[in-house]
Amino acid sequence: MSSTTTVQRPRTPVGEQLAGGRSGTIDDANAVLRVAIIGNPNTGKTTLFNALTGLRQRVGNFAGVTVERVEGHFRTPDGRRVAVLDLPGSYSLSAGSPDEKIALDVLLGHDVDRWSPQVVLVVVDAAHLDRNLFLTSQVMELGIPVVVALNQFDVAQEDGLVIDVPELIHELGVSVVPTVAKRGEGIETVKRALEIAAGLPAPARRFTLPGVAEGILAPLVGRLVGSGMLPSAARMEALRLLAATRAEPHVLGQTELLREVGEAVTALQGAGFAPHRLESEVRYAWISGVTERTVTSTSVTGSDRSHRIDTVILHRVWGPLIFLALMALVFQSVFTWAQPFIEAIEWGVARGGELVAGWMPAGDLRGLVVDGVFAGVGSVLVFLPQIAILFAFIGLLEQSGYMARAAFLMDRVMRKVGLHGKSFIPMLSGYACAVPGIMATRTIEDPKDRLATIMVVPLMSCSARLPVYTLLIGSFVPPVVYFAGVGLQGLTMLGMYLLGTLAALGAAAIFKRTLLKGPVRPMILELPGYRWPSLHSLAVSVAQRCRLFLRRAGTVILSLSIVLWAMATYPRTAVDATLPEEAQQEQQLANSLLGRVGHAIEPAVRPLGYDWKIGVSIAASFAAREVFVSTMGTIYGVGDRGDEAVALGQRLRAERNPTTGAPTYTTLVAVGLMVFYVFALMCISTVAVTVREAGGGRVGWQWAGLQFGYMLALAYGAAWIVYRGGLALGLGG
Amino acid sequence: MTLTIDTLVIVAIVGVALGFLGRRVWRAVRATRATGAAGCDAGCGCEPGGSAKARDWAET
Repeated sequence: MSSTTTVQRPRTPVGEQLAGGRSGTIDDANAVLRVAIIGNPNTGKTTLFNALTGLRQRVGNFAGVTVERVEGHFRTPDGRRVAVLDLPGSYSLSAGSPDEKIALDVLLGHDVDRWSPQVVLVVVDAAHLDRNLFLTSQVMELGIPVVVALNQFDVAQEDGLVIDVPELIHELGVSVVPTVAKRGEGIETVKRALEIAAGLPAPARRFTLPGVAEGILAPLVGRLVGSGMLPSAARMEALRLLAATRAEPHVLGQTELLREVGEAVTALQGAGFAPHRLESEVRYAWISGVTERTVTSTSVTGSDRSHRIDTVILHRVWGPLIFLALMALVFQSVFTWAQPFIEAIEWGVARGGELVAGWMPAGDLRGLVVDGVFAGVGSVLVFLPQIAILFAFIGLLEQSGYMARAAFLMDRVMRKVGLHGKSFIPMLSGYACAVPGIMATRTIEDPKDRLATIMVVPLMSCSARLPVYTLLIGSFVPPVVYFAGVGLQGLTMLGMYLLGTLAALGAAAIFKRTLLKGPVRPMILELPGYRWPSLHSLAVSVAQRCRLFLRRAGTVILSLSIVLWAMATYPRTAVDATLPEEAQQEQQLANSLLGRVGHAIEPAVRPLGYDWKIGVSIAASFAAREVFVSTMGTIYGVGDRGDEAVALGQRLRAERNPTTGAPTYTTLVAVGLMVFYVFALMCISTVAVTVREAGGGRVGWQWAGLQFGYMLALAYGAAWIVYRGGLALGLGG
Repeated sequence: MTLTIDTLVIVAIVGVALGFLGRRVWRAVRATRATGAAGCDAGCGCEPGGSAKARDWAET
């Protein structure tokens, strides 16, 4: 990909190239212009949205990144506000899945809470014009002015495609602007085109139906017009409804309309047409003519290159091996590369704690700041470099186009467990956080497949588990290196992620064979071309993740550290003064509110080899999993020693059972604890979003309750098997 | 006197922390009822647009 490629500009100014040669502007200088962005999946809609609005919505080189409408705005040079709505990607104006329904509702004006858009910006992948023009042609019949952004224009040029933009404008009858959204090229022209388009008449259908078919559809069109649709939109909708394989939500219950559709289908069949194919046949016939006249291909270098890479990446044997090797490299890097940065943060936290301790007078307030805030929040903050490295790798894989290949590789496995291949993208999102992962299930059409995916997404190890794994692996797994920099610590981490993934697949198989039984549907997956990741976009994405991590540390984790410190400090009780100082502190801690709660919990966790401190840390981590680490940090009160994570790890290794004198924390206990966290749903936010996405109300709560219950049972059972099995095998030391 | 001020400050800090956590729990529960809304207010990045989310659509 050449960095010097420039966007081909239209030969005449935008605005003079519009339908009918008219130009115009919106009447009211102060009015807000409402623009909806629509396009096929993975055409760069969100990148364009970000470039227009200055926002930083998540982008990725695979379909289904945006699953809901997102709003933003910008101002034109003369100060007019333009509201922009980024809609989920769709191949056509159908409403098969919840995310497609969102787009259809907005464009057809079914979204009663909002105003309809005044202009639609259709984002088209310039390298795949033929496929993208199907949706474009549908949108052009909605009775709303349209602007087409010919995005990824540089990729099309690199693929050897020459697009005659003025001819395309002539063919479509709307403004067409070549863009490279990731570099901000063409954005100002798009803004200007949107402003002008608002004052223009809406485009019209660019092809004609056979007269007989038009006549048969006339009553159906009349009914749709009678229900409030614009005539042009009604013609588009009538044609579209013929192809719908099942009744869409917005027409369900409209028996008269459905009857008319049925009658039209019968009449068309009688006239020798194939009603279900009629729309695709007439539209693609028109598209074929348009692309013949506007696109010429000089070579196939781009697709050739992607194809050559795919022969290795998607190979039946090499593909999965490359996937596993990549993951092993990522997880080992999380340990190796992060170390200098971790040490720097540890040093900073330690010096900060010492500075505050030296400045504040002795007393409970100093204890709160040093043992609560510095020990608690500091013990989590040290994991920031690892979060950054993990998300840099995930971003690289997403932007390069590899994630879509990973989904393809996993499709065979997904089908075996009964899930739709589309389920893998939400599951991949779950590696970052289960909440957006669950929301990403909106791309799945079948409600049972969607629910099954929602139920298993939290088993994918999210980034909140990373501090727990890292603390325990760093403390109890020796840093042995085997080959090419990959060692036992990285492999253990990989093992935890694989365990979660396999458990998710197993649980999905059970759900799909019991409560959510249903047919397995084939997946149609668009494999995007390989692209060099944009460093800017990568940096923005990593910075955003770091900011979110810091925000959690500064809000939830800080608040909980303060509350837990108070619980670990009060009530003050009399202690045996004859005991050594450390034993006195231990006695005070055991008599504190936190100690009493912990001792009440202890019988439940004792079979897993845990003491009350682990038990209470697990309970506290229901707010956020990282809180496990901060709670341990607070309980052990290591803030005044500095070097939080290492000190906490050392303290865990040195901890002895007061009765037996044996080590409290062994490698076996650590592995059991990690296994517990692989399976346990310790996240209040995930429960909340499951309730909502599973239907809300009582049904939503029932599914969320089942999810929490089965995951807790799985976590407890697996941790018990690991611990007891390890003891039986003599691995308890 | 120092002890009293320290205690008051600690009570205030712990109270604010408890209030914040209570508000978080309340907002998480409330989010379960907002079927059309996005995000969980968990700071995980799932909220669309974040603080920059425009409200132009609602205003017009």
